[in-house]
Amino acid sequence: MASIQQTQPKIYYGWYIVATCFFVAFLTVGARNCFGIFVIPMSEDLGWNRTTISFAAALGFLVNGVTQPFIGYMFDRLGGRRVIVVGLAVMGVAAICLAFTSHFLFLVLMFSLVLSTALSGPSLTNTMALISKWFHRKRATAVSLNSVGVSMGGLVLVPFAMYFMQATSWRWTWAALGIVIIGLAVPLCLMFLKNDPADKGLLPYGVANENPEDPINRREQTLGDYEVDNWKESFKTPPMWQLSASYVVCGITTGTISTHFVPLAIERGASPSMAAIIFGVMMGLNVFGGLGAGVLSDKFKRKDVLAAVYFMRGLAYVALLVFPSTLGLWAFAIVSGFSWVASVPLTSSLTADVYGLRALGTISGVTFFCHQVGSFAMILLAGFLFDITGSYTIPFAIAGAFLFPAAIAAFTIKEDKYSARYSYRVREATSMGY
Amino acid sequence: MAFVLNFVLLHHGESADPELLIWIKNVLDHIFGGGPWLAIVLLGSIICVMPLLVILVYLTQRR
Repeated sequence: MASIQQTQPKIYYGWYIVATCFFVAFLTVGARNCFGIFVIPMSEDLGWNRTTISFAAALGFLVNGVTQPFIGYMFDRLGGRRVIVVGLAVMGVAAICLAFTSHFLFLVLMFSLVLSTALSGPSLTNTMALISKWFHRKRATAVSLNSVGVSMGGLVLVPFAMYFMQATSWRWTWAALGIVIIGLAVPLCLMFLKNDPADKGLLPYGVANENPEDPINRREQTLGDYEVDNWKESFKTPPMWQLSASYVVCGITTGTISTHFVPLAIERGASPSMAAIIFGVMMGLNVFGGLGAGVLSDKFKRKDVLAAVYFMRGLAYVALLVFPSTLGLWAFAIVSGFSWVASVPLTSSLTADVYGLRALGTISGVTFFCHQVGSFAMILLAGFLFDITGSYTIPFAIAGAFLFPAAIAAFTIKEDKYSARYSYRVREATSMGY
Repeated sequence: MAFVLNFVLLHHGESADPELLIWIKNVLDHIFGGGPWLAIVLLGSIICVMPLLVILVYLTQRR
């Protein structure tokens, strides 16, 4: 292990990790979101129908969800730096290769299989797990900054790709996205990403003592009754089920919003542009909600903030169903906008606090998979119920009804008993003779 | 199948809703006067500035 630095730098190195992960999320998720703008030009140019190209997209999302636990396992075994850099490089090459698409099977191979698997490397679950290793204190704040990159990426990279396509062609746009990933994200990660604070001769942010041989810091490595080496062990404990169950509900409700909100708004009488504005406001509030939840959960119990987020989202669903016309839409957009992305950094931080860092990549991958299963199931169910009833009222009522049990599940997590965050305080106080 | 296409990793990758994209593009068209290259340069600059800023801050702090 490198020697521990005795002088405090002005900016803790972990914040460079956060900035790098922010940019990775910004680019990768933004690039992935761009797929929607390729649908029409690729369909027209190559003579495919929408169902054909939609199949490639849907398969890609499925592959991404399924591969996440396995890539998370590699993250735990090989280290975050290697997994993230290789994932980015493969993703960039795959995007460039997509510029040469001429056959449907090539699209399936490059986008649905190669690019979607590679995306699991620099995914939010892995970058959040990496950041958690660098931060003991302000962990949720740091992780929430990472999640803000996702929202920003969608707002900047997607319009960039749209204009690039307008000026050139869909082939050049795929190539440009690949070049941006390889030319900017890979070098930045090679320059700044480190697996562990010890690689830079540092301790995690907020670990009070600079000396790693000090008993306090030795205890820090084994804190938490539920700290695990294997993800399967985590599922033998109540908090994992509580977190996973509430995360499935999170997937159910965000899936419903992201896919069916704009059609619902149009059904309620809003014009398509008004529906888009309401949706855009909801997305914009994500940034404040995600960041605010992170900061709050560093001051209060994370499970309380998480429960409040689900409860708030539940109220948003109630408002949507109770208030008529566009008033309900606006109330829903504002309230749920704050809670949309907030559950991600909270769940990630709480998982790290309870189960430790050694199997965090795999555990986060498994919970992400649970989230995606909930989303996928509810998206299909909502579409099915709309076809039967001719209205979104029932699917939105079903999705919203899940949120209150989810809030209870989160609220009843015994965080002060199992979280290293509280164990550390008790042990630190004990060691200081209090 | 169309609603499956909209399922863009959910809040692990915000939904690229087609209506929202059209609205964003219309707003930007209004700002940039409809010329794609000006928008490409401005948005591209935002993308490039972020990593450069991180490197610049790091190098400044190392001194």
